[in-house]
Amino acid sequence: MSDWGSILTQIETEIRQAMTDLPAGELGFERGLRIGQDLTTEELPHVFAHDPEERVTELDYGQRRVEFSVQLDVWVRGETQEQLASRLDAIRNEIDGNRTLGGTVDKAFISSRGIREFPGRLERAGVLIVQTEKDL
Amino acid sequence: MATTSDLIADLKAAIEALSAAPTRMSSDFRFDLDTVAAGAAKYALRVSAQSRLYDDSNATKTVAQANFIVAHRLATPSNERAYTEGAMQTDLTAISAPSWFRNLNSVAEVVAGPDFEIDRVGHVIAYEVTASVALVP
Repeated sequence: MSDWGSILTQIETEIRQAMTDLPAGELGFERGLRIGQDLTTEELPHVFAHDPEERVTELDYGQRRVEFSVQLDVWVRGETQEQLASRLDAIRNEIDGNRTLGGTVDKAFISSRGIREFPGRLERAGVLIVQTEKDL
Repeated sequence: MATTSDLIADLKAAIEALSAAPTRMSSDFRFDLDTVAAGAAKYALRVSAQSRLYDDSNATKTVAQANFIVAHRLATPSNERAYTEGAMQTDLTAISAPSWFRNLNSVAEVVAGPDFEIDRVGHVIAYEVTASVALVP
C-alpha cells in the first residue's frame, strides 16, 4: 500500500469510530470526489477523502519532514448544523486521541474545519483538512 | 610545541572513542549533506586558534577553541530518552570531566568550558561541545 493509502486507511478507521452510522465500505467512506447532492440515501452519511497532497522539507543530517494533507467532506442530509458540527467534533476528538494514527505518522491533527450549506437543499457538508507530519 | 593539527588529531581520536563511536561527517560546516543510520552517530569538528600572552611573562601561548558536534540518530525515534538518558549521558559525563581535554597530548590546560548545547532535529539528537584549551608550549 502507498504511504498515502496507509494514512487514509487509518483516517477511515478513526472516522468510523467517530461516526458509527457511516455505511460500510465505499458506501460510507470514499477516496475521491463526486457531487454530494447525488448521494443516495443508503450512502449517507458519507465521507469523501480527496485531494491528497504532500510537501517535503529537508532537515539536517540527510533527513526530511513529510507533511501530508487530505480534505474530508462529510455529507449529511436532513441534519441540522448543530448535528453536523457534533459529528465534526467527534472526528476531531478521535484524531486528537490517536495523534500518531496508530504509529503511521509522527503526528496528525485537523488544521481546518467548516460547514458548507446550500440554500434550498437538505444536504450539508462538513469540510475538514487533516494534516500529518512524519520525519524520515 | 603542540599545534592545532595535533589538537585536531587528538580530538578525533578522543571523539571516536566515545561510546557513540561516531564517524566524521563529510563536512564540518554543512550538516545537510550526510545521512546518519539509525542507532549510529557522526561528528563534526572545528578548531581555531590564537596566540595570547601569559599573564606573568612576555611568552605567548596558543589558545585553541575546539568545537564539535556529535549527532546520533535514534534507533527508536519514539523513545528518545533511551539515548538521552543513557549512552548520551555516559559520553557527556566523560567529556565534562576536565581530564577529558587535559589528557589530550597536545593540551596544557583547559582555559574555558566545556559548554554544552543539545538539540533534536527530526530523528537526530545532536550535542555541541565548545571548550578553549591552551596547547602545550
